[in-house]
Amino acid sequence: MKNQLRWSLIIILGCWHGVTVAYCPADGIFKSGVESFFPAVPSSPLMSEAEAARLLQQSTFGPTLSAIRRVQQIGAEAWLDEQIAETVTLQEPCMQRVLNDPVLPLYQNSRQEVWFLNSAEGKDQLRQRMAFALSQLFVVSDRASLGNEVMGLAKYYDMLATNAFGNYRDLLEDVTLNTMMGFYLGMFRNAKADPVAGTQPDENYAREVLQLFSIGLHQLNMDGTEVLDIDNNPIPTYDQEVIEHFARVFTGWNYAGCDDNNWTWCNPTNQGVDAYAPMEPIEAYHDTDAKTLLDGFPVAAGMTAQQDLTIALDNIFNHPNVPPFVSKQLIQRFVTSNPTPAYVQRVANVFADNGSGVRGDLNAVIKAILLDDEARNVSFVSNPNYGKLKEPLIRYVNLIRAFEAKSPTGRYGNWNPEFSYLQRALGSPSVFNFYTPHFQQPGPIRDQGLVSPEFQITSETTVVTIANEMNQATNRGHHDYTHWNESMPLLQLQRELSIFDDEAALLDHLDLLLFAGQMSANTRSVASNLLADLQDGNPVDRLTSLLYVLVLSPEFVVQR
Amino acid sequence: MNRRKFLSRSISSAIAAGGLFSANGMLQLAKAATLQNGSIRGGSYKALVCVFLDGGNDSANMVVPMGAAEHAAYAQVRGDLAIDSSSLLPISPTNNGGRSWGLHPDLPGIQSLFNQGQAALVTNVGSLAYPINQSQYNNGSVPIPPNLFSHSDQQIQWQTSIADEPSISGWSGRVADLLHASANGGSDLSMNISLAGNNQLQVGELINQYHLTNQGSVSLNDVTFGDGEERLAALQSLLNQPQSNLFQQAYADIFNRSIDLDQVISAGLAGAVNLSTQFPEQQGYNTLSSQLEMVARMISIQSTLGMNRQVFFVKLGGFDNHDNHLNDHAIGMQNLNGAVTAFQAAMAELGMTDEVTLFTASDFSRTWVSNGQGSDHGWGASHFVIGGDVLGGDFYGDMPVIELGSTDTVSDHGRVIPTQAVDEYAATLAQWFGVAPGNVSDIFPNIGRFDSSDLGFMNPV
Repeated sequence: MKNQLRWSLIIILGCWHGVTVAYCPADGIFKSGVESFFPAVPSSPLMSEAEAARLLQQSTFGPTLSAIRRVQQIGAEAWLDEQIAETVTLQEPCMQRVLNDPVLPLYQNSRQEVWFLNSAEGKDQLRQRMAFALSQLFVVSDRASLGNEVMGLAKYYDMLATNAFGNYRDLLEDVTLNTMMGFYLGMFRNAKADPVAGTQPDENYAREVLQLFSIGLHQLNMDGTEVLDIDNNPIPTYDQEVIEHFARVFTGWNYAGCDDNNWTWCNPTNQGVDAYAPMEPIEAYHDTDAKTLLDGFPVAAGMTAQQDLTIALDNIFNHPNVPPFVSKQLIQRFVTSNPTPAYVQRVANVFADNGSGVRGDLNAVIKAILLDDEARNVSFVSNPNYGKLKEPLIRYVNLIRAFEAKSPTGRYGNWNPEFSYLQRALGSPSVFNFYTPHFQQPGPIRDQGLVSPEFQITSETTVVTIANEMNQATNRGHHDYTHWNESMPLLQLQRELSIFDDEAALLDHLDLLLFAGQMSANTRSVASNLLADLQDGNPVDRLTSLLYVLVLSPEFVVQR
Repeated sequence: MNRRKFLSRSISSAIAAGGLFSANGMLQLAKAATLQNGSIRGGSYKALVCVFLDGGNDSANMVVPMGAAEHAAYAQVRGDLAIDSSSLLPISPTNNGGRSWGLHPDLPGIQSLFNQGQAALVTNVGSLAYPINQSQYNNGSVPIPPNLFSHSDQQIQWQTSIADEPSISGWSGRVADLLHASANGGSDLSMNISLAGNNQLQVGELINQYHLTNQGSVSLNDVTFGDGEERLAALQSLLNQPQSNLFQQAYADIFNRSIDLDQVISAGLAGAVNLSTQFPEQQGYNTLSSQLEMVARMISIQSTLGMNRQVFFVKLGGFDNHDNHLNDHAIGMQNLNGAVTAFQAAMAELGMTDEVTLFTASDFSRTWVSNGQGSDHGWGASHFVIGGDVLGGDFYGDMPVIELGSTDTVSDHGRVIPTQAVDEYAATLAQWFGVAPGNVSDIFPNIGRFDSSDLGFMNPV
């Protein structure tokens, strides 16, 4: 709340000086005005508009009419290829503009704004969704010691976006040597044991890279199920001794460009030292004793820090758990919380070999996830276990994209999304993300042995805090409303108002944009009755009341 | 409410797959019905407040030996993490193991409570599958909990109190399954209330946990006037429509429960007495102080809400001090001290000192040995129990000997092997709370493996 006050003060000051600043110029996908109202259905569509909208629910921050038409025109696979080829939208240039601006301060909230901007408006929607998914796997957070690292975290997110369709092995190394991760999980300036001082290497990165970023605690089959021993117990992938050996591997790393004799005080104000370049070793602080890694893999004594690192990351990368471990979590982020083992296995097989003998090709993996029959075949929709609760922030950006919201300042004034949504890009409470992939909502979901990760941040409290945000975003957040916060995106509802009097057309349109054509007859009749109950009101208020109810409905919040 | 009525209500709720009761009740009812026969012990109101120190609290710097020789050994092992002897706050437990002891310099309020006999330390508690010593650990002859030293696993083991098996439920969730119907008349408000989001401790087989913010229950905005009434009616109509998709139904259940309970709690809090106790400001993202203030306010309206037994879960983060340890741990201790001291003052103001027991829990303690300004994941830890019914001013259990080559640890890093199980710690609290001795093994299935089901730090019921 203090932040909001501070920000609103800044905005007032900004206006006082006649400064209206967007963080980055909008890149033009939002063409407000008549031309984008109702783009025509392509003459020979390759898929129905509902199927196209469903693909966009799974793979972007939300369907827009023009994207639906594009997918219909070129089909799912060509559209994915087009997205993968799209130029990466980065956060750093916008952060640099803020840094260079004489008025705007650079806060973590600035970084949230750019996340909203790029997630809502970036043309590389699939890449931005993948970056968000990866940011929940390779977790760093501004909620602790990284609180002041605005530019560093923006660059970290850019690194994830840049690697989104590259190779997992490269991503793992870039993550490992990133200074943000180094600060967050202690590999930065992690020294070998010092018998005089009585210190041992920091184990934090060693533990979490194995438990959370790559292989997990238990041996997995390719279909993601656990390997069981003869007593039906899961089999650990490593023990404490392995952690201690990996901790010794991850020693000796400091800022890039440090003098070899300046381990302790080397910092970015020194000549040639780069705060954001991949960390570099100072060999005197690296543990050169022999090590034993996963599955007893021996590493000889006398290796350099980089040699040890390469061997260790290869050792992790080639562990049989990596394909199912990573594939299943990506399926959970994009398609469904409880993929069948066969679906996991099909994707994991592609992770293990993209068809050209390459392991870890994320380009092939994301296509395997989204083109799989279990993702595309609409017959799964009626399965009561299918689908997932949409992530709270994605629900909100869905609304922004569907109705091409923009604020008077061109900015995204949603500065502390974690208060209401319990999500914030690179701002989870701990390295365990906002939720674990294993969370089971008590009740029928748990009783059937299913998981529901996003329910871990869904409670009596958050359903209402999110509802109140949605109230702000609809009833108090449309083009005809003067919001106290000039940077709050306002839904542009001129298009919907142009068909407001044709109720059937309006409801069809909302069904497509918000429900991918899956709106039930009951929901449709409740919508119709609400419009009738409010018939004395003016159209925009009636419309936003309807939108408010629809985006809180069980059918909207669950993606199927 | 009699048992038959409870059962019928549970079954109908389970069929509706909504409300307070988990549908798993269908499967668990027979067992629960048996458990209902265990009567609640003690008539008047009682509450437990779990303060979870998130990330693994370094208890070796929370309670520190002060004698010259022991402190020197401690300082040698801890290196740059050692706290100077002169800054420690002395306490005088009877069961001191022949050593003198002090608390962390930022715990003056808790020191006072300890010296007044309202706070005790339960020593070297941890998640254990069986009692185990160093040689058994090293030769693998006694099973250990899976994935030791992992945050997520040890948190779950602490909160389920079943260290060696996967458990859906947490121990206070199972206590609620047992006692909620008889103690709270089957109120729609759960016995288990969390002010820190979902946790494993309060997951029951039958009874779900309820979530509150540190400002109370949250209400829907703009639904009581103008078009808002129609919006709310339409929304509730959608939420009340049965859904075949499990995720849609689960979301609707939570939303409906939220709307219903908000009305009850908001009305209750609006009529609550104003506490004169001032809760302190907190540093950083932590909100323990305001969480505990809300717990105090909820306790003040327990009779209005018809609650006779309640368990509150609050959380304080910032204990995973792999780096910058001395400074960050001191902030944690300040936050803990300020919030807990204010909470005890509020309980005194409400005349609830004897009715409410606050206890700490955490993932684990930390390694004695420094990794250079930080400390890694350990195991056994000491914990505070605070309240008027606590037999305070003393240690319960033995303190490990902090010295190089100690046989009390797993390795040369100084990960202390627990000498008391979480099960023993929790069973003591649960029995004070009202679980009959005959039901202890229903809640704590592994309790028979350990020395005691009552460590003796609570007044006998």
